[in-house]
Amino acid sequence: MDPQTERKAQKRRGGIFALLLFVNLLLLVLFRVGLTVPPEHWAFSFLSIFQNVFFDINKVVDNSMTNLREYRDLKKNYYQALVRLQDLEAMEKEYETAVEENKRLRNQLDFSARIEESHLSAEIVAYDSGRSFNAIIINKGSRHGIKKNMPVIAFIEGRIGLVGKIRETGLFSSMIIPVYDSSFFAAARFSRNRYEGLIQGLGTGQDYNLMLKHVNKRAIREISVSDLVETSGINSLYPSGIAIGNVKAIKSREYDTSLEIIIDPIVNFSKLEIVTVLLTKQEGNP
Amino acid sequence: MIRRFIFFAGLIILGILVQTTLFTHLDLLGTRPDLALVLLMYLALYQGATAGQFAGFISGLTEDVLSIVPLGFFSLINTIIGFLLGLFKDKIDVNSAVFPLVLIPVITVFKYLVIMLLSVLFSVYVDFSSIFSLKTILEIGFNLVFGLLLFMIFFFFRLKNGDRVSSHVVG
Repeated sequence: MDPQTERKAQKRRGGIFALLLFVNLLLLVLFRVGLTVPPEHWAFSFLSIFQNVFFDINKVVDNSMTNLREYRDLKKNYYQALVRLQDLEAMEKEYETAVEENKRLRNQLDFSARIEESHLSAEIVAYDSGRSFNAIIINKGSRHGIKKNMPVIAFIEGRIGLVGKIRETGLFSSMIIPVYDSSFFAAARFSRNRYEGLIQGLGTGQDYNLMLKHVNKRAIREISVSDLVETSGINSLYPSGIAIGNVKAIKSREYDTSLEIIIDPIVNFSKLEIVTVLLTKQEGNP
Repeated sequence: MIRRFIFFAGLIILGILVQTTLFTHLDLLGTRPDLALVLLMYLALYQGATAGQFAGFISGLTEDVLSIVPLGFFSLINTIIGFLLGLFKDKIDVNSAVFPLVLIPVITVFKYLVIMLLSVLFSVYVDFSSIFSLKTILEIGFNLVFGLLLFMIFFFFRLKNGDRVSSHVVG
């Protein structure tokens, strides 16, 4: 390439770079001043279709792998003349799975019956692409009646636990901000002695722990480790009485007028598969 | 050139979809490989700054849409990475295994530095506790494993296609 053509190519590259930088910064400034870009909703709807497809493929592959493994095991046992025993074991396994499934479904039914609000169950299909952000994506969207800011809960060992809130909806998918995200806030109180505070996520770097802030210092004599913290429902998106977590540690500084309490969330996010969205009416939503 | 660019951009978007769905099984202490970043690095170094910045912009927008962050956040980061790496096209030996070993940690750390800077400038909530933790080192390790794997795949294809590939490459 001769020097003149090279210079032209360099200029073109620089021009394109400047243009792309401008577009990106413009989008960020629009966000900073509180304006949203409508096509984002449609792009999310479109891309989340592929995420759902990948989730389904994953399920099929998982099932196929399980089937292959079971087939290999059966074959091996056949050659060892243990067909009969193997069949019985397989039947026993299926029975156990059925019992487990039955138990789980019964729990879900009990759970559904216990929630007074209109609600909708959804499966988790994807997580945020990066570690610095904590979005969870579920396979139900605006087509199913989900709207921004709706509370998301889960049924954990006989209790209703807070998972987070809806951040964004696509047609067939929605994005959840989980309680452990540092942008998450909710009004909370102690289940036993009713002291109130504000819960905030601490991010995944702190083992999914949460921080309960602005708790009156007088509470220190009445609260203890493992006390239950729940939503207070005061000026909040969340109905009252949803369990958030248990007290893990209490921090009290002399110069501070309130306590800082570390909360261990009641929901085990590493094992969470199904969540329930409360279809409550939200401000600004019809 | 355009077909090749569309192919790579599609590959990166596919990488993001895989990263957000199938790679959740590879989760080790809350860390997953950043497949999109590694793919973007290869694209920029093999195809140059123009293709690199466009692919960075498109892949970044995809990440923005599928994430909590505002539009323009990852697209700005990826555009910068794609452009800067693209400037090194033909200046460093991409066929050397040293290249992924050095560049992947550097670019991963660079990405987090820019994330922190943008989060301060545009008031975006970022999980800082996760950045300043062992997880970042784990992610670099993960990226290295996938980077070396991709390096071997691309190296194999380049060897197979020989000069035909290099003659098609336009900066």
